[in-house]
Amino acid sequence: MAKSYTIKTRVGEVILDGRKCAFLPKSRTLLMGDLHFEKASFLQMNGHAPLPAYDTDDTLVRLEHIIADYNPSHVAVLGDSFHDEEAGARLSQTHFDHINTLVNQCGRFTWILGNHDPSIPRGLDGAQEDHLVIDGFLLTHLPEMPEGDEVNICGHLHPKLRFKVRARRFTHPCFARGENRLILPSFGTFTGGLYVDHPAIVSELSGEIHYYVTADESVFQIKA
Amino acid sequence: MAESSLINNTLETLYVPPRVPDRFKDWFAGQGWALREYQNYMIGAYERREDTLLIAPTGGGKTLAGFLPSLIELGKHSKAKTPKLHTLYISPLRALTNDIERNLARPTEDMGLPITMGIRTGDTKQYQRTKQRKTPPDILLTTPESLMLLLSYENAPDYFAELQMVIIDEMHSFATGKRGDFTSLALARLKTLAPDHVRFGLSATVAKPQDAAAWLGANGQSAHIHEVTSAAKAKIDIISPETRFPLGGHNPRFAVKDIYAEIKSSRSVIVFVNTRAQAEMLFQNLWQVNEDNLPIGLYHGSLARDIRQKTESLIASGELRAVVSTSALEMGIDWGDVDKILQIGAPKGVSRLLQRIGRSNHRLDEPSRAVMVPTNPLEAVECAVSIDAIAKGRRDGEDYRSGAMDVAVQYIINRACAGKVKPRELLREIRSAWPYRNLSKADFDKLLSFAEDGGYALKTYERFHRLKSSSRGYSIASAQQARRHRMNIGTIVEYAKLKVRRMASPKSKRGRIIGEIEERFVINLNPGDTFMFGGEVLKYHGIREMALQASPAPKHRPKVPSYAGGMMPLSSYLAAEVRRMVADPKTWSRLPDQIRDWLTLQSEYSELPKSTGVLVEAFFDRHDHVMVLHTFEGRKVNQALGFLITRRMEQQGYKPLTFAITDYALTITSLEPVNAIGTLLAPDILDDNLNEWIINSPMVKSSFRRIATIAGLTEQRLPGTERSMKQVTFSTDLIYDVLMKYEPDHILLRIAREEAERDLLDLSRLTLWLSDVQGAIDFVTLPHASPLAIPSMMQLGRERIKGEADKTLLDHAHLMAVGDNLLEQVKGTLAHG
Repeated sequence: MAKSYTIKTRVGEVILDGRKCAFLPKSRTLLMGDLHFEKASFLQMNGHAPLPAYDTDDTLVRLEHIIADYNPSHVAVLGDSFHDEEAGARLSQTHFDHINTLVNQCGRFTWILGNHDPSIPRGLDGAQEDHLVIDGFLLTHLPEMPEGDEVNICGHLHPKLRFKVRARRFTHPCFARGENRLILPSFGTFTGGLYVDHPAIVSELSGEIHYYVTADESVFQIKA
Repeated sequence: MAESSLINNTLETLYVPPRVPDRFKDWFAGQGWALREYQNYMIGAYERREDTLLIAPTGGGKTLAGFLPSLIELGKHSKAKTPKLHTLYISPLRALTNDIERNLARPTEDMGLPITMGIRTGDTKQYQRTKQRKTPPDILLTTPESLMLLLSYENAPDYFAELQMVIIDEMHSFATGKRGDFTSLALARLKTLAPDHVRFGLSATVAKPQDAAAWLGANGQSAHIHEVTSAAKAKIDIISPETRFPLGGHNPRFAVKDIYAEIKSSRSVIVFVNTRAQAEMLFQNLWQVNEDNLPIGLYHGSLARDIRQKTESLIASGELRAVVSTSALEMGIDWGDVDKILQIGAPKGVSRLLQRIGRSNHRLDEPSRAVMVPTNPLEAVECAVSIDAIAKGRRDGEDYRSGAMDVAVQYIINRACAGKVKPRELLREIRSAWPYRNLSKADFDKLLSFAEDGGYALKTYERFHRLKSSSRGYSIASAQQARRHRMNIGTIVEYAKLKVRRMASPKSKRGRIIGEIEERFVINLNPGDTFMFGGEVLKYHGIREMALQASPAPKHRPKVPSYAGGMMPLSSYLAAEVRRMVADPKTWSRLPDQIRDWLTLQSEYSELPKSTGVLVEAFFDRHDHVMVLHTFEGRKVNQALGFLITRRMEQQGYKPLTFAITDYALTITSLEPVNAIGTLLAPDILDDNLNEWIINSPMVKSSFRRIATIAGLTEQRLPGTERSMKQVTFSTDLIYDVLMKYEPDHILLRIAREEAERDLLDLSRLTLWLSDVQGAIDFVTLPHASPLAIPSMMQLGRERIKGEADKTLLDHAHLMAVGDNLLEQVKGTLAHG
């Protein structure tokens, strides 16, 4: 049982962490996808009351622990960090301040923008980018085709894997990796998943495909 | 219909005979009937304004007895100026309301009674609903869910103001569950709106009539009980097939020729099975041997409504010689011509068996005939002891418990939809429902707070609340919230279903909807797989437009033979009787020869369970080490023991994988073998913190899912869309985990824990059992499963242990994958080198 697992790509190493995040050791960049802050309050607003809205809190606390462990020089979150465009208005002052504290304690913090969050709530610190290129990795929200020979790391798809080990069924969020792309699992507390055999995921992966599932804060490579 | 001798019952003389109008007497005479004693009694009970529980066997006009007082009174009236609802009939089955309407139409038309009737169920069209709301019929036939919906509208007080009579049919079938709690709350509301009406409950024979009467009564006053007993005893046999009984499973195929012979020798037969999968398979098998082309039909709840209705009318008109059916045909609907019942598989309870047997021969004075077809040896023993139980007049005890809290939450919201209500009135009204008579103020406050905004320590914005409060009371926060609530009324949490579209061929563009199938079954299908549905083998092509598309594949063997579900719990009374019989060879003479041989084999290969102590068998099977504890203590004890013993096994490093329970045994699989019982059954396993172990179990999570749905935390259906159950399962699991982490004392978690403990575990009985078996544990190590263990091994539905075993398995899978990576690297190096 391993808390993390290092994979080698064409352009360099990536550490996959069982807590559903990834780390690029060369640039000391910490990556996580799909935080979906304020998802519960969005659902409440739409009549799903009364859901327990502890998701933002929980996501933030997990984020904080991981940042403390890796002490990264750069944190990039890969889009859909906020569940909707009004999420900022629902964010409590405590959470707002908490986010800024985290952002400012890292040397560099980048919000890659996603389809749920075309902009980041006003007053929050950190850079906003459509994409980033770091040491041969193209960081995006949606899967994107690199112009050069970069390896794409993206979020958006929330992959999860269903598999059997000795007749026992498991379903867990996972990293899905093809020849030129690594898709991160979703990080937010109230986020669901899409099975990796869904056409939306299948169509984005080519060549040899690997899955690394996250369970109990550990990561396991599983042959599908 | 023949008249029974019950008419001369001496009870009649105890009461002043009620005044029955001549035209009713004439009408009965015209039918060749006379008014039965209990029909007379109910007329009198209504005159005396007495809430009454009528207990009578199936058949013989029980429902008519309930309606007669209303028909008489309404018949007297000239047309009222403003129509008002007079009689409300509540049935657990939609189909029953149609049936009742047809049956009532005859006397009202024959006698020219000026009575209007209406049906209000989920099937009722919108224009009919609108019409009913404007002009109420005299008699409204409805279900508990539709009644609750009517009560959620603001005009409810006016609509029910003149109500005189409420009739609850087939009360025994739902009063003890959550649906009973739900109905009880609706009845309490009706009593507030129309305090003078009379309640009648109609029920089959029950073990504890006093409890049922207390449930039915209003304002803490038990209803009167009027019980009619059947003069004739049922004649029940166990089949003696020429072929061998299977050692496990639930497949009646081995006896299909004998079943066919029984059908052939009867006028009309209902073949009852316990699951839909069994129904489908048996139907196929019967047609394979149906050399006389007897008309044999199939009936279960997943078939499309028009297909079911067609089958119903074929049975009613006597055109079918046999119908293979699940419990869907257990209630209501009179089949005059059915002269025999076949019960496939174990009956699981005396009352259920009687209910099914009652479907034959709808006459009180002739014996019903039934033949039982057990599908494995333990079921055969169970059949034998249930026949004894019926002969002795024993019934399973019903379990009336305090009302479910999630249902109360739903009621609070329902009440708030209809208009402002003060907490004090609300509590008084809820307590006036019998199951909630002891609801504490503190619990009520928590439920109200949950209904309002979730009741979390973390407060949410006012504008997200479900209820708004003012000094004049609570009311629903918005029209949107009211709409959401109304679409989710009810206590039946179902799995998401997909329609099944039957295409004539794989290339067809169109097809016909023939029924529905659970989504969780479909998830495991791959295109090209075959399965059985609606009595034929279909090949699965894919899902399009929210329907599963499939075409007939008659020559294929179905690869996926069954869908899960339909497991019925055995009453603990029967479980104990089974043990007694297995332990005592002297009683085996009542069993079929084959079953005696099987028990003998058990005694030779392993041991027989004794009448005290416990037999534990351990062996290896395929991947895993297996331990079977033959407790014969019923599911609840086995479930609780399963949790405790696997916890201890986890502590001792056995790496338990799963446990499965039947009424007779607990089967545990583990990665490490158990070679001696050691301290696994020591009484101090009760001291271990069971709670902590249980809260992570899928069982409690699934109970939380149902509670969250009933209490309105998540929806089954959203306006306009059917939400898939997969999503619900997923999100309630997430909610569960988050609540456990941030608010472990939240009211919904407490309800889920209490419900799991109450419904699934019996700790007090387990405590007694553990002290009883000390020093009397027979631990036997075997090379493979014993005859007695096989039926338990073949049980579906396992509780999975989340512990070290999971991690070990994942580690194992990881190492395999990493090994492959390394091998690829070597190959790569060689290829490039």
